[in-house]
Formats: sequence, C-alpha cells, structure tokens
Amino acid sequence: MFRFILQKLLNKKWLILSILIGNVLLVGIACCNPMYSRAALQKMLTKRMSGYLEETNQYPGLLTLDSRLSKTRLTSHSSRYFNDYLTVADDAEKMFEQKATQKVTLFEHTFQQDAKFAVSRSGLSSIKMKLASLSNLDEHIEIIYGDMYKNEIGADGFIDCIINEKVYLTSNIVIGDELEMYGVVTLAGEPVKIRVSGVFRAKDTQDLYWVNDPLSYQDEFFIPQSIFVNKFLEGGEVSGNIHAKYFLLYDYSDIEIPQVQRMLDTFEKLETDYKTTDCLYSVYCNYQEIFTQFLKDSSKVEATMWILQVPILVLLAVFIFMVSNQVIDIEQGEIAMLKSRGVSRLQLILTYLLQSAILGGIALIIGIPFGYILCHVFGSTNAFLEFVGRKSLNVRITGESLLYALVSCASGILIMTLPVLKFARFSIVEQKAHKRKKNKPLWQRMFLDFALLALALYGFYDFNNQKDELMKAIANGEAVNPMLFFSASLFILSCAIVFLRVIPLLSSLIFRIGRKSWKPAEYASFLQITRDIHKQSFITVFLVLTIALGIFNANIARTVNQNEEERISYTDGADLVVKENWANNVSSIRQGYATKLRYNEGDYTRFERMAEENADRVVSMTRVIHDTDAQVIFGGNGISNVEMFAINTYEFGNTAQMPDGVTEHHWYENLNKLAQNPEGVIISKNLADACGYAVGDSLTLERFDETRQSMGRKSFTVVDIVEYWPGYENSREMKTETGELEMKPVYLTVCNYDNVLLDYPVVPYEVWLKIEGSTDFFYKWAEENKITFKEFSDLSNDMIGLKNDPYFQITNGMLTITFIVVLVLCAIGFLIFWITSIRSRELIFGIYRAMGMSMGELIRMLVNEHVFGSILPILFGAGIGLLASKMFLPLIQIAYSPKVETLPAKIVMSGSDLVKIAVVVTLMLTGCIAVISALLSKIKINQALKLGED
Amino acid sequence: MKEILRTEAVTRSFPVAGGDFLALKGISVVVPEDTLTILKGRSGSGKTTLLNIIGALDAPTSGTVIFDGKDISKASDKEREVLRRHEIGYIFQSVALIPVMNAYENVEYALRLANYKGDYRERVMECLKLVGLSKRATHMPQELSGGEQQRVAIARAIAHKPKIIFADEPTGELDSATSLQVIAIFKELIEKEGITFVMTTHDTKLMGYGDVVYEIQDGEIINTEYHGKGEQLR
Repeated sequence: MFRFILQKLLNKKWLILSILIGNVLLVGIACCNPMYSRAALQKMLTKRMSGYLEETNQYPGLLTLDSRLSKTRLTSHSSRYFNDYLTVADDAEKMFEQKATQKVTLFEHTFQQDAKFAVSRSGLSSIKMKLASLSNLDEHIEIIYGDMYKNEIGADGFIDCIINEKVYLTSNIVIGDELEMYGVVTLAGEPVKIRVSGVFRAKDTQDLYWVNDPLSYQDEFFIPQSIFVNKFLEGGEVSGNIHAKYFLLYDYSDIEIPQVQRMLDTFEKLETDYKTTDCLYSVYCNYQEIFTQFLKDSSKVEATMWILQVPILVLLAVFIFMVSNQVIDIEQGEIAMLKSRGVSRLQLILTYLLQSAILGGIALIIGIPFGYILCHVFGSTNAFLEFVGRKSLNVRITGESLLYALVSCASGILIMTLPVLKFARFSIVEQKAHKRKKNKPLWQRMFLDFALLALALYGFYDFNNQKDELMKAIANGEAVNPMLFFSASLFILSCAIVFLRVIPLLSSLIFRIGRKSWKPAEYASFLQITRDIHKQSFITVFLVLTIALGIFNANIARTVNQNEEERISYTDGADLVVKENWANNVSSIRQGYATKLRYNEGDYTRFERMAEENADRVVSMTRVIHDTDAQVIFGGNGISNVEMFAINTYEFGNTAQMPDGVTEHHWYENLNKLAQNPEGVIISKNLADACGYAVGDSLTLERFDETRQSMGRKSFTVVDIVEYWPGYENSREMKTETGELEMKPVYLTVCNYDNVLLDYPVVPYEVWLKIEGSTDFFYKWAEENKITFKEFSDLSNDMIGLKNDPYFQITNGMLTITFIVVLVLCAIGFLIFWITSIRSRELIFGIYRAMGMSMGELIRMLVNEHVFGSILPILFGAGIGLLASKMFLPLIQIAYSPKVETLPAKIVMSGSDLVKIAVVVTLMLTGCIAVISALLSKIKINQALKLGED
Repeated sequence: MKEILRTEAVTRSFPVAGGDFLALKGISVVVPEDTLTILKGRSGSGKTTLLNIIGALDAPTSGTVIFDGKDISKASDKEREVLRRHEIGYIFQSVALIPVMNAYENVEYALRLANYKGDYRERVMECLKLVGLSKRATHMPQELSGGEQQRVAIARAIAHKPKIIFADEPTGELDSATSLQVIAIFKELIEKEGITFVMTTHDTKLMGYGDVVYEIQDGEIINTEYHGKGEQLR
C-alpha cells in the first residue's frame, strides 16, 4: 500500500509538489502567528517596562504591601494583624508562582511628636529620627566608618545602629553616639536605647534591593531586623506606630507574557483581600498600568494578526483543495476502476487519507522551521514589501505554535482528502454517467453568488453608517471589528464568483458578434471558453481572488503606513524640534527671593554656528516660541488649552513640514498673510467656531510662564483661519476633575516672533530644524557642547518607533507575506491549470492537427483562451481590488488611526504596487505560454491520435 | 481504373533502445480512385504506421508516396497541413469529435478549416443527412451514442469534399451491426460524393466489402485481395 501510494505521488510530482507548497505555507503561516506575536509582544512589554523605568526612575516589577501597625489599632481589633500581614506577603509571592528576584521588608517607626531621640552627648539637642530596619541590609552595603551593627543587644541594653553617609555628613551625629527614644518603649516596656556603630554606603546603587534610593533614608537609624521584630512586633503585639513595607521585586526583563495576567490577577486579589478582610494593609504596584495597557494592546495586535491572516489561510485552503481536486480528477478513472473491482469506499478514502497524511507530515516538518523563518521576516519588514536588517526578535517555537501547526496540518490533510469523497461514490459506469451531466453548479442555480454579494454590500453599507461608532470603539482601544475585514473579503469573493457568469456571457457576445468572420482558431477557443467554463471556474475565481486580494492588501498597507508616517511628521512639525534647558531662577522664587521667573537665554549663535558647519545637513533652521497653555480672553473669560506659536514666517515655511493635499491652498498662503501683518494672528478653525472670530477681528492672548504666572495680555488681529498647522493637534486627551480621560479641543494661535518679543520677555524657545540625511551629527554636537534639552523630538527616531511598533510590523509583515504568497499561488495555480488542461486535451489537439490546423493556429487558439480564461480574470481582479480599496479602505483606515484625528485620512493607492503585480503577472503569463508551447510541440499528432489504438 | 495514391518501397523506422525498429519494410501499394481500400492486419503489424504515412500525418524514412500525381513523401509540414485541410479527411477509432462543439459545429468546423467556398449550412446538413443524423445536429458529442458519434465524424471528414478519407479502425469500438452501417455509409459516399476511402481494420467480417484489401504482417504486404470494383485490378 505504502509503495503504491509513493508511486502514485511520484507519478504526479509537479502537482504533488504544488500541494506540498500549499501545505507548507499553510502550516508555516499558521504557526508563525503565535510565535511572532509572542516575540513581538514580549519585546513590546520589556520595552515598555524599561521605558517606564527611564521615565519615572521607578522599578516596573515592584509590588509593595504597605501597612501601618499601631498599638491603638491592635487593641481595638484582634492581635493577628502583623502575622496576617506577613502571611499575605508570603502568599503574594506564592500566588505569582514565581520567585521574586528580591524581597525587602522595611519596618520603621513613623514620626510621632514624641518620637525623638535624646542624645547622651552634650552639645547636641534632641533630634527627630526614625528607628528602622531593612531585611538583609548587611548584604547590600559597605561600612565606610565604624562597624556593622551586631545582631544582638549589648549587655548595657544598647542596640547597635547604623546610618547612611548623607546623614553622617549633614547631621552632627558621630560614631559612638548613644541615643534614647522618647515616648516609645519596647514590647517589654523597656526604654529604647541605641548606639551608632557605623556609617554605611550602598555597595551598588543600581542594586534592585534599593527600591528607595539609599541616600533617601535621611531620618533612619537602622537596627537589625531580628531585634526590631523582637522588640516591637513579636507575637502580634505592636509597640509604637510602625510603618511596615514589604517589597516584592521581579526582574522586569524576565517577566514573560503568560505572567502578565497572573501578576495582574494577584495584584487585584491582594487589593480585594485588603478590602474584604480587616487586614490593615494597602497594596500598590508599578506595573498595573503598564500591564493593563499591554494586555489591551496585545489583544489588539493578536486580533489584527488573525484578521489579516484569515484571508490568506482561506486562500491556501482553497488552493490545496483545487490542486487536490485536480489530482483526483486525473485519477478518477483509476478510482472508478478500483471501485468496480470491489474496493470499498472506506478503503479508498483511507488510501487517500494516508496519502494526504504523508504529505501533511512532510509539510509539518518543513512548515515549522519555515514559520520560524517567516517570523524573522516579519521582524524585518520595514514597510510594505520592504525589508531591513534589524535586530531580530527573540523568536521561539512554543507549545502554542506547535499546536497551531498541528491543527493547520490536520486541516490540510482533511482538505486534501475531501475531493475524493465526491468521486469515491461512483463506480466506472456511474462515473461516465456523471461526466455527462453538465448542469450549472448549485450555487449558480440558487443565485448564492448574488446573495453573497448582497450580504457583502449590506456589510459595507452598515459599517459606513456606523463610521462614528467605529471610530469611538477604536479610540477606546478596541481591535477593529473582524466583520469589517470579513465584509471586504466577502465582497471580493462574491465579485469573483459573479464574474464566473460574466465570462461566458462576454465571450459568447464577442463570439456572436464575429461568428462569421472568426478564424478557426478563435472560433474553437471561444467555444472552449463558453462551453467549458465550469472546468475553468475554479482557476478563474482563484485568479480574480488573488489579484484582487493582492491589490487590496497592498493598498491597505500603503494607506495605513503613509497616513501614520504623515501624521508623525505632521505632529513632530519638523525633522528635529528641540528646546534647550536654560538656567532659571525657580529656586530663588521658591525660597522667596524673587517673584518673576527669569531665564538666562541660551546662546542661539551656537546653533547658528552648528548650522553653518553642517550646511550640507541643516537645510533650514528657525526659532519657534511654543506655549501650550496660553489663554484667549473672550468675553472677559479665559479660554484655556490654547497653543501659541510665534514664528519667523519665512524660516518657518522652509523648516516645518506640512503633508501634501491636507489643505486646499498651499499653507504658504497662510504664512504670507501673517507676514504681511506684524500684529496678525492665525487661528484654528475650532477657535474661530468656538468664539465666532472672523478674519479682521481682534483677539487678546494671555501668556503664562512655567510657574503659571501670567506674563500679560496682548492683542492681535486675526489674519487667517486654518484647520491644520505643523505640530498642532486639534484635540487632546485630558484628565477631567473626576480623573477620567476626556477628549478636549485644543486651540491654535500663530503669531509673529518679533511681535511677540516686543511685549514679552524671552522664554525658552524651540529650535526647529530641517535636516538632510541622518541626525547623528546633531547628537554629537550637543554632547560635545554639553547642551542639554528639555524637549527633544527627532522625526527619524519616531519613524523608527513606528516601524518597530508590533501593530504596524504585523500589518506590514502579514500584508507583504500575503502579497508574495498570493503571487506564488497564482503562478503555480495558473501553470497547473494550463498544463493539466493541455494534457487532458492532447487527443483533441491531435484531431485539430489532423484536420490541418497548424501549430501556430493551435497556439493562437490557446492564447485566445488565455485571454479570456486568465487575462480577463486578472484585469477583473485588479478592478475588484481597486473597487474594494475605494469602498473599504476609508473604514479599515479607522482601525489604524490614532486616538486624535489630527489629519484627514488619505486613501493611498500605489501605482508601483500595481506595476509590481503587472510585472509578475506578465512574467507568469509569458512563462506559461512558453511552457505550453514547449508542451504542444512535443505532442506528436500521430501519437496523440494513436491513443485510440490497442 | 485511375489510381489516386501509390507508394513505392516505403520504409519507416523508429528509434528504440538498441537500434532502430523497422516498422515498414518497403511497402508498395496502389489505392484506386472511388474505392474502399482496406489495410488488414493484427495490431503491431504496421498498418496504422502506413496509414499515417499515406495520410500525410507522418513522413516515410525512405520510399515515395505519390498522392494525386504529386510526391508528398518529402513535403514540408506546411504543405502537409494544406493537404490535410483541403484534400484529406480523417476518421478515428475513438471519440474524435471536439467535445465543446455540437454535431453541426463539428462538421462545420472542417469547412471553416478548409475555408470552404460554398454555403456552410447547406453542406453541413447535406453531410449529416448522408450519415442519417440530420435530426441530431444540435446534440453535443456526449449526448450521442458511439455509432452516432462515429457517423458525425464521418460527416465531418467528408464535409469539405476531400479527395480521400483515411479511417483508422473506424469500427473498432462499434458492434457488428453498427460496423456494417458505417461500411454501408462509406460505400454510399463513394458512389454519391466520389470519395476514396482507405481504412485499417482487423475485423475479418468486413474484408469482403473492400475493393482492394492489403494484408500486412511485420511491415510487409503478405497478401492482396480484390473484390467488386477491384476485380479489374487483379
């Protein structure tokens, strides 16, 4: 049996190879989903946590249990709190199912009025300090003066303690000082007496152990934890007011995605436990916000990946089915013969199942490594059909991906076996009878194609009507509704099958028009197309589908990418926007020496020199005063959320970026109006609408400095009203009084730089630069000149950020892969169809030749068939792809739009993609015709005709 | 009696493993006009090879084939095509109709290929009537029985008024009653249309209908019989 199957497989090696390719792609693409999303999301998670660390200087993997223990509380409740607390802390670690990298307990007596220390040494008044203990402190410090504390109380009743170097330097305490705590006694009722034995310094300030900066312990005398517990906390009793903190630290770079949910759950459980039991602790963690946002984003990424993957998986399934069907079509006679010789249907199906399983097994073995490679390809997609050599993702073959591979492999096996079910029913007699029936397929008789098209159009109509809700859902962080993609795919599919009705109509129309004048070759090919369409229907649908999907996907990718790139370049405003740190007198104001904020203006000539030295890179540069919190005085009230730009119109026009096609007129016209009126102001449309301003009106602006002190008002004349401005977003998410996030409008005013400086002191301005090429030189210059920036935005960096965003990476990667796969399948499917179609018609060609048809005519006949059987579907597919893009892209674009709709979304249809498709298709067609001609010339008429003999 | 086709010492060899296989070993036959000539022999005897050569589907390795006074043994592909298009018709053993064309169109197609100058419809119907199938003109091949299909093939072969028709085992897949019908049609066409028929067969029951019967064995003519009209050639 095995040998029989092998022989069968080898006989049709090309078809089998195609099926194998289909299966490998199926397995590879299916199993790369979990592999890739895991790797990309892991990268995103780690990156976000390290970003959090950089921004806040707090450790993201930290969970803190915080409890305030006091005598009064203990007496009014039961006495189990401290033990409970320790148990909860212990449990917490267990609940994470993961060992904390670092566990730190900190106990300290909190400040109380009477918690003072009397100092034995004369010349020192009493000092306010806390008694504290940190677990395992000895392992993380070095003693720089004196000695480490001893873990037992001295014979004279003194407890050793140590202080950090800062305390040592700023207080008058010296080693050997003896102190007694006021008002607090130990559990045994003894007075608390300590002796300073040494001064410590953290061994390594980067040590995770130092949840709080070691130098921040400015009021603490540290004593051994065992003594602290023994003297103040033992047995559920508490002496004094004790602040207990239990830090659990998890190395964030080790935190993996499956732990995210568990860590969040644990945190929430600890939180609710705290509320439901009367255990007095509170719990907080640094990671909650990161993780919650991460889970939201990761589900969005995963959903997106699925949505983008389903069409290609379906296409592959269809492809495998089509080729398997072709194989079984060829083996039809064989099957029927086996049937009539008494082979049962079950046996037949089992044989084919085994055959499919062999192929599936091979596909599995190749598919998994292939999926692995695909993940790396995704990781290096930069844009649609663009790859870069970027640091690859840490992709691993996980259990989940193996499961996906197995499931896809199993479905592949089923799909391969499916066509045999149809034929296994017939014996040789029935098969011949069956062959004769040539009714329209069921779906055509039932008008299912039109029903599907109607459904898809309804979906489109429905989504179009719900556009606003769609936007809201996306703004709330939801993934795009899969039904939207489904409707688009359905639209393409239903158009493709409706097209099946069109081809014969069209060709028979052309046929009828020239019935009398058609040459024999064309005559025969028209009849072939109109009468034998059903044999071709599958390849026709397949061609339409692949081309349409290819174009549609390419357009999605282009649109999504370009809109996002333009948005980033628009909100950044220019290639580089920097705001230097200027020295100011804030500290003097705080100490009450000054009232007005003053700056030492940074020397702009340094910038000018830099620009001169790098004239080849700095195309243009300008200063921009950019307030984000100005007010417009309207009807006696201040309207806040006003951004004010003060610009040098000419320089600004040369430096700033404004995407094409956003405004009706070129934005230089706006700049010109401002330039013509020194006291003019350009305002945003939403401001004009809110206050009813029109061009020519007067407008009063109030500016504030960084300390929120008014810098005074000034009047301007409205010279123009705009909707878009480089660097300006018309709304922003802001916290309301209740703490919820809400979108609020942001207003824009643009004035002349010199005019603003007439009435206001200089405040730190932004420097906008237009850069040619890399921005590296700027970083080097800033470093060499020790220039630090308060604000810094580098467009090229932001673009890299975009390319690294898993959401965009997946979209680009998936669409690119789909596109390539589509082309591969298209070429293979096309060749298979034509080769088998020619093989099966060898006898007919022999007849044509015997009747005196020349080789040239035969090829002309086939080319004509090509035109209707392939070129028409390809053209139609291209049309459908473009139409689907026109219809669905504005909706799909919403899924990728930012929360704030800064720019109107554009639909991008790249001509170069069409050209790429056209080139590949042309290559495919010429290749096919070459192969076909070679095949044809090999056919010997007499041999073809001799089929009948013997 | 006028002869339409003659071969002189025709040989045909095919390359096989270990040398050439000589399928025809110097065959000389004469086909008289307006007769039914039968090439008789078992399978592998070389009768189909001979038919292909005299039917301008294949060229001999050596020897000459004179068709209608012209030597066609050295003709180019192009010349053969023209010959096949206008002067020659074929009938094959197995289903030889173009499956996407109905009976009428199959016959008409021969006219198209031959660029027939007269009225297509009239000629097609005339031919179909000759084979007794004028009522089934619009049927597709798969809707016809084996005998009916073969009759359509005959109608198609004669449609463009060829001088000669070659038939390779035309009755090979037919029962004896239908076979006789086909032969009867051949005879009728010889009379009515003035067409010469050359057919191969191994069916001994049909030999008596052939005006000339050449028996071929291992690439050689081993026996020649004459019946009816052929008697004159004896």
